[in-house]
Amino acid sequence: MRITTRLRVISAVTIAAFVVLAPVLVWSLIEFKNAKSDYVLSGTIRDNAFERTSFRDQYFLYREDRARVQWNENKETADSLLRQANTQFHGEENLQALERLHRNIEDSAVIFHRIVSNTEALRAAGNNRYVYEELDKRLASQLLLKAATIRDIASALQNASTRRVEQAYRYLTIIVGLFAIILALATVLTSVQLDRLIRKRLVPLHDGARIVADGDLAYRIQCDDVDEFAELALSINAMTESLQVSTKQLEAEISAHKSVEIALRDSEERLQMVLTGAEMATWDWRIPSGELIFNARWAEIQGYTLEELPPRIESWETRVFPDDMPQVREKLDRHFKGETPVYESEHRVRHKDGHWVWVLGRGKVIEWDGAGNPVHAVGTALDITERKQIENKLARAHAELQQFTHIAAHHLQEPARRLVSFAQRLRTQVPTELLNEDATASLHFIEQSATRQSTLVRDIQLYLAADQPRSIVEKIAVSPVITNLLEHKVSLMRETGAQVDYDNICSAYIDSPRLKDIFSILLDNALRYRHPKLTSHIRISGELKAGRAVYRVIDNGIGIPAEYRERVFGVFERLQVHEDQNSTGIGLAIVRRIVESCGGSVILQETPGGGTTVVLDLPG
Amino acid sequence: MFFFDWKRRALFTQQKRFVWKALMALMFIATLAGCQKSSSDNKEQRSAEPLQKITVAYTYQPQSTLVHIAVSKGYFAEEGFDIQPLMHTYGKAALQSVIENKADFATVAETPVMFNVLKGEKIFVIANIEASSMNNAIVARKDAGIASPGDLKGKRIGFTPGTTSDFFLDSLLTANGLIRQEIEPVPLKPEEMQDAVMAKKVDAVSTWNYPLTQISRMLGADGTVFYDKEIYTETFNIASRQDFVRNNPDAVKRFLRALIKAEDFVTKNPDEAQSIMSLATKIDKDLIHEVWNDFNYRVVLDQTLLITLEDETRWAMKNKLTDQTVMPDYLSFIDIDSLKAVKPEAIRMNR
Repeated sequence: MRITTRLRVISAVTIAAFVVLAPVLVWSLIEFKNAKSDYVLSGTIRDNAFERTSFRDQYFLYREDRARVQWNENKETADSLLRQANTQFHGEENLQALERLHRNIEDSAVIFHRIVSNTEALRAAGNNRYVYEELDKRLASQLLLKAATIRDIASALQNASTRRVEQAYRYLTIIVGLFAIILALATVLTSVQLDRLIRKRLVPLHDGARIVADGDLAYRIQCDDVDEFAELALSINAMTESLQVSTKQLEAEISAHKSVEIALRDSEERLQMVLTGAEMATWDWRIPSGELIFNARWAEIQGYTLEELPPRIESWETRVFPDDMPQVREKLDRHFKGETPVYESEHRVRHKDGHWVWVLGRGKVIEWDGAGNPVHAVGTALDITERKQIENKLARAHAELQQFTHIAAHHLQEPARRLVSFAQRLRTQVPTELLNEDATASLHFIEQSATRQSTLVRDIQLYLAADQPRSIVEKIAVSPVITNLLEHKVSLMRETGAQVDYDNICSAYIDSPRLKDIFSILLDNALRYRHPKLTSHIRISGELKAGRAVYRVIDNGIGIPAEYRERVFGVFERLQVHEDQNSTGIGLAIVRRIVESCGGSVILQETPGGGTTVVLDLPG
Repeated sequence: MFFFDWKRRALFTQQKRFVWKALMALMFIATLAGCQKSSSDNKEQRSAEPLQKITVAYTYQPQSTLVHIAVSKGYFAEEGFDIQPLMHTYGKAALQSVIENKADFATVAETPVMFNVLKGEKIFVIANIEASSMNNAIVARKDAGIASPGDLKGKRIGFTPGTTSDFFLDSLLTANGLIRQEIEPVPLKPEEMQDAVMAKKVDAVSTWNYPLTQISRMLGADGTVFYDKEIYTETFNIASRQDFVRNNPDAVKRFLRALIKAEDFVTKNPDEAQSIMSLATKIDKDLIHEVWNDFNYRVVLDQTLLITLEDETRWAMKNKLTDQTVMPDYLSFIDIDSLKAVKPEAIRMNR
């Protein structure tokens, strides 16, 4: 039987005992109250009898009316008390006693009244006075006897009431005691039984738990009963089974973890070797606390040993070149805000001996708090001083080249313009009769060649400048750029009847002039190499994919055979079939140079149904 | 710490439980033995002893009912007595048997006791076994011209001297303004009264039951009965010689205990008690039943006896029925201790 069932049974037994005993208890209480009430009334009757004897004695003393009247009044009180007692008292014995009491009081009243009458007669008696005196004595004696009898009966009545009170109290005590004993017995028996049961049932659980605790997870506790202990045993068995499965899984996981750990260690070792080989420094920054863990290379870049620099962010902050600090801060902030996937900064730090060292810092936040604040970041630092020096040299060389190009372009443009100008002057100033057909054709050829040279010089100038931003690099909306371009090409559009669709094109992270150059060249190509039998239809789309803006310029033009699709990105590369005097063959080369300088790429695909699709991606 | 040694603890608990059970069993056996001893003690002891022979002089009157019941129901035998009954028609004669050492106990009214005390007899009243205000009356013949108590003047009235009959006659006369000298008193034995009335040798008799009711019935419409319950309360008592009481205190107590059993029986079985009395006295049960409620059958010692004895003593002295002139100390003729030992609540007499 379940323990809860046992407890319920015991509770039910106790409640049943109480239910059985409760009416008896109530009866006892009522009996006690009635007995007490009877006791009080019988006491009053007894007191009344004593008072009457007092009035009797007072009357006997002086035979006056006051005592007689009071005796009579007292007797009326006695009658009233007896009437009350007759309704209140129960039990044959009590009622008989009341009857005897009533009879004796009535007898005593008769005797008393005879004494009163005899007293009157005595006062008027003559020679036979002694007879009345004798009668008076006889009656007085009888009255005394009656008084004694009345007193005895009243006392007996009160004693009976006292006994009844005591008996009722005894019953009350017995019932309460009985209930207490039943309750105590139930409690004791329950406790003993439960104690035995619990002990008996707990031993296998205890032993089983100890065996399992000692590590034998295959052990199962025997449970044949259906009580809570059996359920507990089943639960322990289930828990043990689950523990056994978990342990096996854990062992497997530990084994796997060890393999991973070994692999990781190997990987770390390899990484360290790579880092060491690449002279890469590493750092680990706990941002809120300012703790900065770095490797020996990190300190070495700044001319220190690991021990010389405290592992604090201040070891880095205080050493950054002050003019570089704003851009470093900005890049950090942008990464911390989630605007850039990684932090990357090239800046200078002060070397121990005072000179400045160029460092390429890269990092990434790997842990954020609930509010989106960075908590933990890791990264690398690379000494790029040498590269910077080369870059500076290259920049200088580039600048010089730019300047040379600019000057060269200017000097090349100037003769071309003069050729055009002089050719035009000859055509207008030489008389028409002097200009034969050959002369006119020569002049036209000179003019055309000069113009072509000028365009070529301009495109070369564009190509050379294509890898450098010409204004601020920022997020630029592409659609307005295309709209602006189409406005400038409105005559060509009208001439060709071409249609250009563009909508919901994503922004690109680039400078505005070069973006404009890209789409200008691609639109020109699409319009220029249109299909002779088809209305030109150009569609421009752009979408963000994994932080990259991927654009497609799709036309239904003459298309480019697959074997030429890479070649057309070369400088001065044009397809013979597309020979065009207005084309310099450098447009796609400029596009690729711009795109690749931004870290992007550009390829050509065939448009389904014919035509060319240019696919390019830029930072989004 | 958690893995306590349950087995050892269980063994200890089993030992403790065994000791506890053994103690309970011993207590139970002892209680049973004690109960058995207390319940059968007296009877076994008595059955081993021979019955004590005692002579009880008592009467056929209703006042001796308790003795008749105790004899009939074997209560005396239960108390170790072999009762030798010595029957009398009235208590005065029964007391005389005790005084003459012919009997150990007598049933007698207070009047013979009073006279014998005044004569100097060393007797004890050990209990009052009856009291009544309606046992004594004067039954008169109407044809003698007696219709009311006042008509007794000048009439021949039979009475038994030295008995309650004597005292009641005087009391009734007094209550009606008469004195003894105004009547013609005729001394009669109780058994002579009926014939004397029927033979018109007397005009009235002062007597008690059962003769009183028998005479009244015989006279029928020719008779009249004068009661006066306000002027006299008769008591009937157990009397014995003082030396007997002093020498046999245990017997006296056992005697009283038998009477108390009879008292209880009478209270609870009045009808059966009346049948027993009818059988013992050879008087019709309806007559016994008629007068039954005029008596109380209680074993007590109260003021009634004392006051009545003193009243009667004054009466006896005043009427020169005794040579004594000093009121005796009746308390020294009442043995309170015996009854107090067996029924303390019955003692309503301060000493």
